Amino acid sequence: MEFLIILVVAAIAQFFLPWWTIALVPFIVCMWLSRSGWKAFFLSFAALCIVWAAFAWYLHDQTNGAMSDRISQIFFLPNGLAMVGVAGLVGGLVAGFAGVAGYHLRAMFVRKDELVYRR
Amino acid sequence: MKIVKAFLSLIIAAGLVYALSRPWGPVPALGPFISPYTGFWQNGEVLHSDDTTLVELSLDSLREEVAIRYDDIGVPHIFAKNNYDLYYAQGYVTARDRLWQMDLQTRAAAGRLSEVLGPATLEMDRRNRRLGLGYGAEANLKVIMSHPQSREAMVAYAAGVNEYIRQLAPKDYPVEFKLLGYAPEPWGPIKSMLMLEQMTQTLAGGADDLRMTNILKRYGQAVVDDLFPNYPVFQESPIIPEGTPWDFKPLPLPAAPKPDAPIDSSIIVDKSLVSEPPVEGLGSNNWAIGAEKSVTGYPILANDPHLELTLPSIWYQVQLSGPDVNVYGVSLPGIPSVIIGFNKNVAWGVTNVDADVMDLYEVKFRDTTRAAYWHDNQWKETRKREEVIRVKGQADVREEVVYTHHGPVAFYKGEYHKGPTMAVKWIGHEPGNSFLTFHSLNRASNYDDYRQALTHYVGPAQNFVFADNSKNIAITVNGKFPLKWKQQGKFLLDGSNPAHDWKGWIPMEQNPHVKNPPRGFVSSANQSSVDPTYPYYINWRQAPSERGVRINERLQTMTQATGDSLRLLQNDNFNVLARNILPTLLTYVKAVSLNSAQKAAVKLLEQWDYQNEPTSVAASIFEEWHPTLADAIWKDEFTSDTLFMRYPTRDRTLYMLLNQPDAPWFDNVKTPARETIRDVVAGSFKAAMDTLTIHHGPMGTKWQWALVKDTEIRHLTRMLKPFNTLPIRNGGGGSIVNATSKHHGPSWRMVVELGPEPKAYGIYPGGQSGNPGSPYYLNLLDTWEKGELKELVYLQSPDQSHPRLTSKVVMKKN
Repeated sequence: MEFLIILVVAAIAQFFLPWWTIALVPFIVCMWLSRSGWKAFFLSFAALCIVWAAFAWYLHDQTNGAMSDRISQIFFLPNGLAMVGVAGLVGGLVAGFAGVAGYHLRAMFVRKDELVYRR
Repeated sequence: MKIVKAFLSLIIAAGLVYALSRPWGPVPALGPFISPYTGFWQNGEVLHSDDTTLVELSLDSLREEVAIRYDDIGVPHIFAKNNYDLYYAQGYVTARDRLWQMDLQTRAAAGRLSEVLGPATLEMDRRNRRLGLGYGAEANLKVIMSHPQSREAMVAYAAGVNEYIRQLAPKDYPVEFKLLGYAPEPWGPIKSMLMLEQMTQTLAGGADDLRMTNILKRYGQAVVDDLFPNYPVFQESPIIPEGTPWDFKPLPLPAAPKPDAPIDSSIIVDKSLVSEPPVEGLGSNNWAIGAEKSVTGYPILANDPHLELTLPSIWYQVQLSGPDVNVYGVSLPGIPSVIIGFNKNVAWGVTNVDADVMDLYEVKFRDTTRAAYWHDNQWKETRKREEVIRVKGQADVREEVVYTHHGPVAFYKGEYHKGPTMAVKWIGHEPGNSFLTFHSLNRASNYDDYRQALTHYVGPAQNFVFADNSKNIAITVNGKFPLKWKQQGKFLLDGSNPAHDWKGWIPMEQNPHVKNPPRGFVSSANQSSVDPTYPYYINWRQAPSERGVRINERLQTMTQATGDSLRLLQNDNFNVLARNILPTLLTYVKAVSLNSAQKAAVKLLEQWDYQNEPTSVAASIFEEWHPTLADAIWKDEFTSDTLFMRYPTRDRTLYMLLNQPDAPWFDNVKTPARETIRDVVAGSFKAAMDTLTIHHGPMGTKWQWALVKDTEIRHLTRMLKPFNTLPIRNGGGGSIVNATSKHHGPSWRMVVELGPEPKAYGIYPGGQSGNPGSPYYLNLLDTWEKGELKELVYLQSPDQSHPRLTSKVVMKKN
């Protein structure tokens, strides 16, 4: 559930809000819905990894790597596809850690069984 | 435990976001940069080949509707109903393709690079502030804004650029802004002036006054007169043909004072602070042939300005059509109008004039406050200009630039160098409306319009070649030239002596020019403007003669020429220098003992047709050899760790090699033995062979000229290798008509066949777009590399159909 919400909300919100929306959205959603820290991390990671990598790949593919292939060389990577991987990884990590933080922040104030109940 | 977990995870998440939100050294803030929503991914572009593509833009401050047709190489053809809209649209489309370049080049001129690049560029910024580029830009702005037509163009252009910038979200910024982490700032007419200052600095911002003064001090007047003559002694083919009558009454020259340089200064400059005069490769060719030489029965004009080759190109192609104008050509991003181009009736082009328009004056301040300086036997007040240089990541640097009536004081005794305190008198500070020259040329319809347009011009001085469909051809060595005594400014001048001041100007109508000369063509390649019969002094040395000699000998014999004949001449690889000197050099080399590789090289050189073809090995050997030879002759006497000097000119060196084989200069004074011309020539030959072997292995296909020359076109940052071109494989060379060297070369090649309807061709290495992620970034490179040209699409109306047109943009008033 939180996976889908994070994915959809983050994917849309970033058209209007700054890049760190990818931290804000999983932070809030996980604070609200997550049952465990591990889950918060992996679901957030997966959601934003997919969003960033998929959008990056789309732009890369649309332009035949016109810009991404060049930038990849600045980062000592072989091609723009590798850059797509980097985007997925960075997006995923930021979201993952933000999700964990959201979960733990709430866990601080709420008993474990209450968390489970709400879910 | 819960608190620890919450705290730790928050720290990690926040830390990660923070770390990715700020730049680290040269690395941009990675979060927004890597995000597909805002980062570099957004800068990839696709080709719009669909000719039905129609984009409508609603824009503020437009007066009427503007139609823009794009052709298949990305050139905008702008059709406006009034001149305001025309330049507004030019500003808009130029910014769309070249915004970052416009920002960088004007920033460099303004001495504001450190604002975005940090302390690394501080010295460069300080130098440009002291040189007074901003001061010159402001002086020019006043003039330009007081004239209704230039004012309209400048204001409209700025409004167009700003309208484009206003529409940009951070995700739309050119990728260089994203990489360097700053945002575009609003444009203004002052920036157009800065762009002109930048060109003036590139083309007329060098002086060898200090080097010459040092030579004078070390070797005396007789040696200077002998080795540094004021006109080539071996070979010249001046721009205004010898024998052209000077049909005017010249002004009297100022009397040369005695002495003509400060006597009490002890010039020992151990570091160059002043830019060198333009390097070889920073020059240009242009010419026009008359109707009698062409197959079309009308003149044909050609121009190829040689500059540092960069990406994006210094030039931007555009067609501008308005109520009183329909012109096509190349513009300089940041300046409205077309700089080199043609319209229905005329065509024109420019090459640089190596005039001495930057002089250094030794000045003495009354005291350390620098409030007064000594001139004409009295203390005169200075003016001060506070320059604040903002430096990224550091405190502002304040620089108080002191102005004398000569100009800004650019160098202080005891600072960086051991020379005196010096003020700079420079054409870049002279207020004028050079822009109006181009504005008028865009609208010229005949020879008189051309001559009239040139009267507005100040600098950087250019050889303006011209042709019209009334079958006139002409060339004018044009600019504001100071009226000087002979050799004034060849050496450091005395800033306290009023006799050393610039004393007025050469009247514009007396600038060297020729119309329809008997030989049937006009041409220039930066060589001597005039022969010594011209009554005024322009400079003691101009660019070497070889390109000019070659162009003139080919044009002399040319008949039934087409545009393609001129294109072939632009690509001419013949090495005049080698023809002049190589046979003589080889006689010396063959008189010494050689190893087998050296013998093989001699054989190659003997069989060489003097063509600097891409595959020629002989060309590589010769091109490596002749600078080595110059070093072997002059380095011992004319370089020093403590004294800053220069070599005699190539022309003087050739004269000595061919006619003065016993000259004492061949001896290397650093060795006890007495070297002869044979030792020097043969020794430098062997050294050149060794150098080539070290860098390219034993003599073979790796010694091919294209590989040795290794031309590379770099992105303007000069450090982002992925934005550069792959190595270029073409011929040519510094002294060759096809003037392609490692980093310099023909930055635009144009051929215009005049006639009832002009037919024009052109190319530059790169493309219309400055975006490395655009299909128009490098789309013209292959054609340029092959030496071919593209036909330029010259439209008569916005609705005209043409097979090469693609998308259309309509700008509507909001």
